[in-house]
Amino acid sequence: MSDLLLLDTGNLLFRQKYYGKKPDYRLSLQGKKIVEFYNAMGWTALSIGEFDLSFGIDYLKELESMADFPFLSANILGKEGGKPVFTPYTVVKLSGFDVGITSVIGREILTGEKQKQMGVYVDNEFDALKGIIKELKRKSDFIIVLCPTGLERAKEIAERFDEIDLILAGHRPVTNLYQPTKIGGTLISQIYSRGKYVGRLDVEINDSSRPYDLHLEGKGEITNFKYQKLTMRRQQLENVYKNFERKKKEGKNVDEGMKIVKDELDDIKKQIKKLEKENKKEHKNSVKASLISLGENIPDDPEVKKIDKKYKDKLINEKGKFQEDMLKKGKRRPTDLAHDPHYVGAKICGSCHQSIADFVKKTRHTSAFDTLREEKRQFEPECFSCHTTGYGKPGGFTNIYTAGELIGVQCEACHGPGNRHVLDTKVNMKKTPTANDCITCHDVENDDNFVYSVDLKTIKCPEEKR
Amino acid sequence: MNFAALRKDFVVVLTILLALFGVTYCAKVKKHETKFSIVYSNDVLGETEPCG
Repeated sequence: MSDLLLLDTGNLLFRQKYYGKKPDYRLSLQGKKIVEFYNAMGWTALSIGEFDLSFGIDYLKELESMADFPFLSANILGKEGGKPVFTPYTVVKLSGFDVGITSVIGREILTGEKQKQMGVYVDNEFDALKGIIKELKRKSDFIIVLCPTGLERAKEIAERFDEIDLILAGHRPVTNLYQPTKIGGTLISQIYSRGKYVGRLDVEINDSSRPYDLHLEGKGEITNFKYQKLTMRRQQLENVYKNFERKKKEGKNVDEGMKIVKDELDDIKKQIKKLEKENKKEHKNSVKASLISLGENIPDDPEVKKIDKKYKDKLINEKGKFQEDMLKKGKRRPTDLAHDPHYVGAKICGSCHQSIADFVKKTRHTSAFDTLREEKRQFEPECFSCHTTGYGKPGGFTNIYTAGELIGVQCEACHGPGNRHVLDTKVNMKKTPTANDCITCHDVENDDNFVYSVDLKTIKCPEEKR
Repeated sequence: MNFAALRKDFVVVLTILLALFGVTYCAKVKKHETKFSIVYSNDVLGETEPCG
């Protein structure tokens, strides 16, 4: 395998802005756990994004001291200017080829007030990069800039510094630019967030005279209409063929149709290949880009899994009993119960709708909080809104220890808060949740197999037996 | 005919030609070829709005 660089464009450690607060036990473990993960993976460098700064510089410096890789930022300086707080750049020596890597955070992303709160000063990206790029040009053969600045600022940086060979952009909004775009001689890429994908770039340099003029392999430079028409038709036929294959497996006789489609497909592929050959130019330096899905196709790394277990066990040992006790004892807050409407809990629903309550108990919704326990993730508030009922909602609860009877996904998660119906049964509740209601939790990020029309049938309440 | 002077001129010209050839050749020689891969992630935990 060729030399490998593992890079991150920021916002790796935390997912919310906790500015000004001290990390609680869980979050302080989270940062350390992630650094250990990345040590185990042999990470090359990490860019500092705005969320990473959540708990201030001291905590981040503590994490940096644990890391085997540099935390990069050229423009996060000490209070009132001065030297960079983190590593401004690094030069990685590959086999006879040196790669210089730096990072800049978007100045506008952190307000002056936030900077003051964190005891830092964020320099202008362009000013910070001027000196660094000059130095990297001298010390390295290839320059990469990690830009948790947003894509538009990344493009401006590319326009200003054509010495940069590659920019990896971060920060919102996230676009799927895993096939890099080119600005001058600089390639820019950004990929999906939330850990569902990583991007991969395979770089081949055969002529090392600068600029490299990297050719992006696979991306058609052919723009003529005939080529586009052919590739669209190919896509259509491939989909039809897949459908036929599925029907054949079901025992249907589709041989004739399959042959017709296959013959046309083969012919179109030949025409496309011919056009591509005619248009192929010789490129000495190239980049091949791909997107790797981090699904079940990638097995868990045993060492990383071991580290994850160690931290989860630590959290359970420290806080587990406390949480279980509080969940048993915890009572709803009077202010939540005073809100109109408010959630009443499945027990109250079941006092009138017994047959339905019995059915619901057998569905997976009821044990939604148990699945968090099984994964040892019952301490993560980001999960509560979909594994409990009414979390973060008016009339629900905001602290897991005041959830009371609202643990698990219950009737009111689908039908809405029920106090008004309890007081007056003539007040109707929402009978059937819509697709939009369901995909609040069963979204692509968390349940990409969810199909509303199919999955609703598994939890749809039966007609009531009275 | 002064063969000594002629020989001297010939050596000088030859030296210059060889030097020019050497410079041209070295300029064309590739410093290095290389292949490497970059795997990168972005915004891994993803942003959530604080609840409540």
